Amino acid sequence: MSAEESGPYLNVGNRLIRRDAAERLTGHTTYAEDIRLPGVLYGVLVPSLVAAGRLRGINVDRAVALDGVVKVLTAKDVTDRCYGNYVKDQPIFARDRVRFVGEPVAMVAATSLAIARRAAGLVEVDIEATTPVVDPREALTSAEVLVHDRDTNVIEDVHISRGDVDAVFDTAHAVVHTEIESHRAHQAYLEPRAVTAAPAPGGFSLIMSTQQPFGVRAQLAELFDLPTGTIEVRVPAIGGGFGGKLHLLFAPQAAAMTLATGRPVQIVCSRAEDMTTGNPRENSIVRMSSAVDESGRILARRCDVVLDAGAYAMDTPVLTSMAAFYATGPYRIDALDIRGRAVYTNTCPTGSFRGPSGPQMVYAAEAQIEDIAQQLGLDPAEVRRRNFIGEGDRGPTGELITLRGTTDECMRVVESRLQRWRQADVAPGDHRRRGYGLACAWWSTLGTPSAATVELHEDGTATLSSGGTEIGTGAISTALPSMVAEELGLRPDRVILKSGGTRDAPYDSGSRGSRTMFATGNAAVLAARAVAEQIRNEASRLLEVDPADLVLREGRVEVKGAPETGMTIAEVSASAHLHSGPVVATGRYRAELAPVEGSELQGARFLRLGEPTFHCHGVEIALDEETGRVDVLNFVAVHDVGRVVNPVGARGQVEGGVVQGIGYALTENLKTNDQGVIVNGNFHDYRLPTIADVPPNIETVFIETNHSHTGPFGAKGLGEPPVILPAAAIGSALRDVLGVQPYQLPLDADRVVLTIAERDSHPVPGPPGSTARPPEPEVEK
Amino acid sequence: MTTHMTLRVNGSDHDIAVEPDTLLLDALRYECGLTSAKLGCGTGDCGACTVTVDGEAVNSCLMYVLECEGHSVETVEGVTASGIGAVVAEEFVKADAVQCGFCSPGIIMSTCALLARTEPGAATDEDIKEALAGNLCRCTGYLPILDAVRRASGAPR
Ligand code: FES
Ligand code: FES
Repeated sequence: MSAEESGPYLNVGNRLIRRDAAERLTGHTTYAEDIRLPGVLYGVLVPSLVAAGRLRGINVDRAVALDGVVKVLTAKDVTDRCYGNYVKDQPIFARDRVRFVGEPVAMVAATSLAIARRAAGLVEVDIEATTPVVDPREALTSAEVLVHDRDTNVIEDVHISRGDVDAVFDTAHAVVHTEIESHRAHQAYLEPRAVTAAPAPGGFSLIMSTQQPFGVRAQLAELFDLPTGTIEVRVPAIGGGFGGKLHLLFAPQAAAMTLATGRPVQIVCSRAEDMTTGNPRENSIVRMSSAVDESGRILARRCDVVLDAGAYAMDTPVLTSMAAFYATGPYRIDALDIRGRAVYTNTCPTGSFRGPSGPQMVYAAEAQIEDIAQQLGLDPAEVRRRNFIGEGDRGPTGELITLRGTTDECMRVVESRLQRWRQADVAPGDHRRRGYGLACAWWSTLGTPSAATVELHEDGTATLSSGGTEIGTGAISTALPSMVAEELGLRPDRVILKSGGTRDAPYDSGSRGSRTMFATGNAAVLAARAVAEQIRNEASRLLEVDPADLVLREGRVEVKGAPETGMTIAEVSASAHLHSGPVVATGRYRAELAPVEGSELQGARFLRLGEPTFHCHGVEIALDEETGRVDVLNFVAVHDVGRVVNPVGARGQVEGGVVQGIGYALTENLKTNDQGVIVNGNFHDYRLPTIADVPPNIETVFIETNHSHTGPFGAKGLGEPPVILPAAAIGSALRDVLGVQPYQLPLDADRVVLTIAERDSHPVPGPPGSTARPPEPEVEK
Repeated sequence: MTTHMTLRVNGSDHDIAVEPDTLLLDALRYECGLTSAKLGCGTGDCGACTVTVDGEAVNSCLMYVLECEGHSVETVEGVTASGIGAVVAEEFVKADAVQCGFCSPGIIMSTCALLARTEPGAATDEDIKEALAGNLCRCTGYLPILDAVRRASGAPR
């Protein structure tokens, strides 16, 4: 039975089968590495083996002499312009100085990968090693060890102030302090980063595993001083990204080699290279203090966040603003003094990872809530409830909240599940202790720019051209064509998608910030609406009725209330082609910016959060107190992301995100030693969750009563939120068992054992926060 | 030292030139033009390169192609074309057990190897987890995969 006969017309909100699933499952989908262009050269980078040092010289003679080697490039062969999303601090190859272990100092291109690897080993790099700074606390204060030629390692310093914080703190009923420290985690997408550059008239083209082809194109145009249009970025299927494929990756190096040799050049990272030169989630330190009244109402908050940027800024500057903005959690706090800083260290640069800064900020804000409750002898859920932000309130940057706040609704669902789990029997012989915890958060959907084109053909089928990136969520491949079909009254299989890079579609700002369904979706829907209007106008001429009285429905244009009067969309489209012109429109979208008031921002990279989404996760854990091992037994994830366009895809986002969040909480920890070397940069030592580790059940619940005013069909973004809460929920469950929770992530067995030991060494329970990490009297201002 | 060998893949013979250290994965991808098996790690830790040799799931990134002379290699292009492999793929589609798809060919191959050695409906969750514990998936969180394998296991063969 073909969809033509059987498929429903109305599809938004129904279970949609991913259009590209069968192709992916049968091995017929092409990823960047699968494409080997004729005459391709294999590029291998020569990494710095030390974290800091002066580059005295590079001898490439032995490498060049090897049969099959076509070219070796070093800094002196390429432009001295630097690149970076916000701060242009990164050279194509290290020049004069090296700043992290793994930083490219040279590149070999050869006719085979084996030769290129051998030649890379023959490049002699002479570096005078200097003392690296690898600890962000040290980097913050050090005036001697400076990663770049600047007088401080601090690259970003953001302040938010609102209300009279000092006065509130002076007179408050109590002041509660929480300090946490978080670790690095790698995106660990299954497909290692890969890029092929090839010569093209006036410039070059790329085949690249990237989440953001238009951003890559713009940055490379600037770096190589070429007109934007001479660079094409083609994106085949992407084997996962999670923020790890937002940057230029090794595109500058591949492009430089193509420009130097006139031949296609491919760089495919080994897993080790990928894990040691990627942009993992940053480690951070979050110090937070709240001034509260007797009821637990938070009257003022001070917060100081320090993010470790690693050796280059990448997108850490904007993440610093994000971290600062998320310091309130989903709570209304009218007096704020928040500072966010990022520091350079001689370590692998960090950057975006799905829900950047989210897990640690949620962990801090929720641990703070629990600390407040513990100090005041209140129920933490009640404390949350007294503070939730809602419609008409103002967020941290003074932005007006115009949607209902639904965190409480989300939390009520979670509480009901925790209640039920608490009552269930434990299997005989299982001596592990059970803990129940929850965490709340809000997040926002990025509304950055997007355009999309819809063209309706003479046969009544349509083409949607989108520059959006299908990263595996199904948002581009499946949801967008369905939304366009819904607007045009067509079956979804009548809308053909054209996407995959910069050539065939207008600008899109990439797969990130939970934005695709929302912002790229809005552009597609706007284009479809404009096309529908063209069709109505043509039909109005043919049927001699007012266009406002016409609807597009089930493949026809019909008169409202008199469906027998109408024509097929194909007939109208064919007629329009003859009489008024092709039926085509481009939708452009940029989210409107909420009005701000009452907060003072300094050094922020953006001024407000986007449309808020609300969330609560709950967990049941089993803790083995001897070994410190935590197992997740049950998990519930409740999200308000407005209208759910595709329940199947949405559930997939939640479950995948929850498991990533559990990995972050319990086992994943990308470790850098004091020499700046990543010691577990492989899939053996970096412990990702396997099928044997996941909880038997992750329940996904959507609160669908709070549609977005601006998203397509009322939808908001979902990609990131599921990953930001699990660590905080597990922390809360640990506190439920132990009376204390760790203040340092990850919550691995060692940390848990240490937390128990520290608790037991305090005979009299001290104030919260003093159990696992001694508090400082006050947040540094 | 280049030698020639016959590699039997998905029922067809491929005459290919190989080095003593050519990996099965590279031979499949670059000599036979079958790119479904992926290089996720190269160290046997992710399972993206899983294929079957005489019905047993192996990490093709750890195996020399010369060891496969005289044996029968199957990749996902072959197994999903018909029979139980097609059923498995179908169940994966229905369960939404694929997102980016980079892990999927390997997971399907591990699944097919499991189902080949178990009676219909006999694979327990523990069996499935054991069979798939070497296949990482970073996107789905595994539950839909578990579901799809359960269903495929119970499907008539
Ligand atoms: S590529 Fe073979 S196990 Fe990862
Ligand atoms: S679907 Fe992406 S790794 Fe499994």
